[in-house]
Amino acid sequence: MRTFERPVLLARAIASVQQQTFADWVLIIVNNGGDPRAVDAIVKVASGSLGRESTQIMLKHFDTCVNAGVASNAAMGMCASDYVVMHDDTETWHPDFLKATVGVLDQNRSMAAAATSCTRVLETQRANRLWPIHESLEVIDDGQLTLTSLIAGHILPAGSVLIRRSAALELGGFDESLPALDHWEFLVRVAEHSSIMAVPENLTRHHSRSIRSDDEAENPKAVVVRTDTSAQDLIVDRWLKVTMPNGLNKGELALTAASARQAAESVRAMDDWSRRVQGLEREVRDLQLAISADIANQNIANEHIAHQMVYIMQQRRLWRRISRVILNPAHGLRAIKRRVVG
Amino acid sequence: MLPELLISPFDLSSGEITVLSIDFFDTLVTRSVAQPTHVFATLEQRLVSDGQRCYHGFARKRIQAERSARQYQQELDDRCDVTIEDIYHHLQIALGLNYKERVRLMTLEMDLEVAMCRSVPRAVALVQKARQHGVRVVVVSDNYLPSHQLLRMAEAAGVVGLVLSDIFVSCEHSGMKSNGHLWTTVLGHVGVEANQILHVGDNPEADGVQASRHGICVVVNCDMTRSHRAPFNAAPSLLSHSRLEAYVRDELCGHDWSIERVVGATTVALIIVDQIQRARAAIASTPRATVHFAARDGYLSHQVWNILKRDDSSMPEAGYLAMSRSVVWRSAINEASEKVQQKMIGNDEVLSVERLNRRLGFSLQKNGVDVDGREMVDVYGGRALIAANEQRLVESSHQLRDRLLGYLKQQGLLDIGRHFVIDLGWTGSTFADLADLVAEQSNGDSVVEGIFTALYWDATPQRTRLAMTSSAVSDFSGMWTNVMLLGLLKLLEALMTAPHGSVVNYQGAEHNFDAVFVDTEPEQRAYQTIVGPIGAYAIETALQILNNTHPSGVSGADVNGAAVWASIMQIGHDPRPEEIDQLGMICHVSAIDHEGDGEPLVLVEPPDENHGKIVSTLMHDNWWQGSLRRWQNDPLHCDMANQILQFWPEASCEWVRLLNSQ
Repeated sequence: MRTFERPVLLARAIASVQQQTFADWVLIIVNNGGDPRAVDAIVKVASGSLGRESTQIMLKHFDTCVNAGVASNAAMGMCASDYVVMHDDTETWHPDFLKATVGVLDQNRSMAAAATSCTRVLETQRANRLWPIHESLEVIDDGQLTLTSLIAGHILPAGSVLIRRSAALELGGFDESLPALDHWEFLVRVAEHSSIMAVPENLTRHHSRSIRSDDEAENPKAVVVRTDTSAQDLIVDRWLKVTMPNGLNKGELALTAASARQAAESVRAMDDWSRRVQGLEREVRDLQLAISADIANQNIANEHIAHQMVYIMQQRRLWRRISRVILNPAHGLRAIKRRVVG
Repeated sequence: MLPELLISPFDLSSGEITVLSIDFFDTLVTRSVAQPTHVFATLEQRLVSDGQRCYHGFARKRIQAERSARQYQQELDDRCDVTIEDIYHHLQIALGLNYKERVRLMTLEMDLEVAMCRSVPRAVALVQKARQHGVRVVVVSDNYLPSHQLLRMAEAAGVVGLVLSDIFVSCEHSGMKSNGHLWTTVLGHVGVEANQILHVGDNPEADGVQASRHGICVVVNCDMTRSHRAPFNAAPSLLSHSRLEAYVRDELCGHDWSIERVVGATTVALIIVDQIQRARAAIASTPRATVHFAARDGYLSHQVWNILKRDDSSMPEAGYLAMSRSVVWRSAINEASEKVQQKMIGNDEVLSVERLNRRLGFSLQKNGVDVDGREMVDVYGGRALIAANEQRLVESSHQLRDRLLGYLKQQGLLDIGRHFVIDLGWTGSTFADLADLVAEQSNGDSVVEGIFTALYWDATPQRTRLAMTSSAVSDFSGMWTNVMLLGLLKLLEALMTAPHGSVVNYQGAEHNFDAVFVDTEPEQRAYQTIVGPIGAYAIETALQILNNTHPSGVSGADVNGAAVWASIMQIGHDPRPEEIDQLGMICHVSAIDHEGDGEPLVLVEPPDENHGKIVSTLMHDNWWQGSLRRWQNDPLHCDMANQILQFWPEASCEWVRLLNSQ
């Protein structure tokens, strides 16, 4: 788990690992140049439950901030587990993450890695307090884990991918020269040589902070190692000098796939807009119909009221006549005579 | 004695009734789960546990497929019912299955229906009685399952003597009971006058109104449907709750429904079982550690622990730790700051000096003389008095801290080693403060760790001070799951409580630093009427589950965090109207001194016009979901409830949708 000056996030990420239903894990925390005292204190609180002698949580401090790939390779060298996950302190797991992904890779020996669906969480941080303000679910399927999809720029949260250690070592580990996106570059290599399996269950949460968060909570150095386009450009630039075994230029493939992906996304966005516009048009039509129906109903109602008024007036007239007859029978008799005679 | 299925004023022995027509599901036959859709959840559980993880969420998709099939059928011909083939056709499309897999799943479902069906004894007795009097028995059902499947289920449940020609199912006769067409078919087939037929069913419209329109004598009894909630709420995690609720339903068949029993024997019992199991696991992992159940949320679990310990001497003693947020906070005051003053008197409060003295723990003075206790003070007067008595306030706080430390020493929390504190949870801040205090006093040799039922996002900062775990919900569960937990905190606190009030102080050394509890009239009233019985049922059920003797077959292995959360949501998020009425009357006392009348859990009407304000008020002071459901059923306030639901669709009763984001 890579961390830098984010004690609250680190404590949360460690807790999510400790809560795994699959208990056979080792957590190696790499403090990438941050204040060691804060990290030590967090790890002391967290590892208290594991007993003093436990080595389930290990800690490595770097004096200065190094590239993420260096931190990842250093952590991978500290243990001999069958599988590895490059967990960032901005990620948390569902308690079944390891159970599900380890189960999948145990059953599918030919697969080099397994990736789960993920929820992207936008949260606000003020001092030590954190609260989520938006969530979006990214469901993953096998089609998103192909070489074409990954090389096109589909970047998975590092913590959502369990990697077979042997496959990682065969591929030479993470590229230590990259300032960012080392994990993406690594997964592209995995997809190039082997396969990644999709676990559609939503078992990972990737947290990022909203612009409403405290400025002091925003770490300038963390910003440097964050995913950014310049790192992507650098990687693609390097790939332009690489020819794959099938004769294709890796960089050209990346650019073509990225263009296709962008085009597909644009078409999807257009479709979405078109659907929205159609929906709005339907709503407007329904409203127009409702209004015209209201008007028609209003006319019918007015007509009905007019009929009722006539009826009431007729009734009143009749009652007047009856009461007149009751009060003055002679008057009534004269009226009848008038009707009869003519 | 078996309660009889009453059919008065009709009499099977009089000879006037020649045909007894009986509804199938929830009249003659029931299932071992609380509602029909939970059969799909059982199927999902089996598929996933067989390693077919792609069927995660199967139950919801199965329900959705049935809805789609019904909608399609409605457009095609609204007289006819759908068949299971139609439903699986839609499911096949939704899941992208091949035909073989579709048939396999359909067969699995039908086999599972057979395995899970149970006869309703009083209905079977009625059928036997009818046969004794020479009355022909037919089954009339609105269902998508074919008659041979119903016959199979009936035989598996022990209902014998039925033949295929006596089973009329809507999906085979181009008509339903609910639209009346099936009744015409039944009358044509049985060949007797309508008034010679007595129909017994559970649906007021299909079995009551429509049958009556055809001149058939009817008896409607809904006893077996009283455990139904929103059909869409079906997931494997719900099955423990469902089986427990089904057991209560069967036990109460023919009797008055008991909210206390349902709530106690399901949600509260499952929370207790989870707390006990996690306490046991903690002790097992750290043998010399101690376990402390926090007052008052852990009272019931502490009771269960002590009962279990009577039969199992290997279990260690568990403490009952009297702590409250206010007492920990009051023991750490070092100045009469604005924040302290605000906490001591709310902005809209007017209270007597006597009550303010109790909150502060000393007598307020003006010019060196005690202020008359009967004098009333408002926010300004009260806060000014507190500011003027700063020194006494700080002294009082330090004295309280000394007594608190004395109490903690008595409880063994200052001894070297690990101490697990078990509580319902929420933020863990009180126990993080406690952990700091204990670590400071013991130079780090004594470590407190929290074992909680549920935590929401405000717990995250506390993780830097306190190691804690939660089972049902955690701060890294889905956002809406966290929100829904916030909405029902007060309900859980009201249900999981003790016969005594909150701790407000500790006595001196001469009284072993015993905790001082304050009893309030609303809480005592609630305890005597509803909360106490809930606790009694919960303890009884929890012991059965933990000892693997519960008649439903639910055991400790079936109880985990997901099961607890599902159960909490069934009662707290999707309550039935009678549960809202009864539980909603409980008042929650949240004042710093734990005095006053408190706030009812359910508000009968919206407290404001503004949606945001309403939601905020309900979240902080009431049971949000309970209030919302109540307004939905009230013609005066349903508009407001529906408007809120438009903004907060996650608050709809179909909470299982939130599992996507969890």
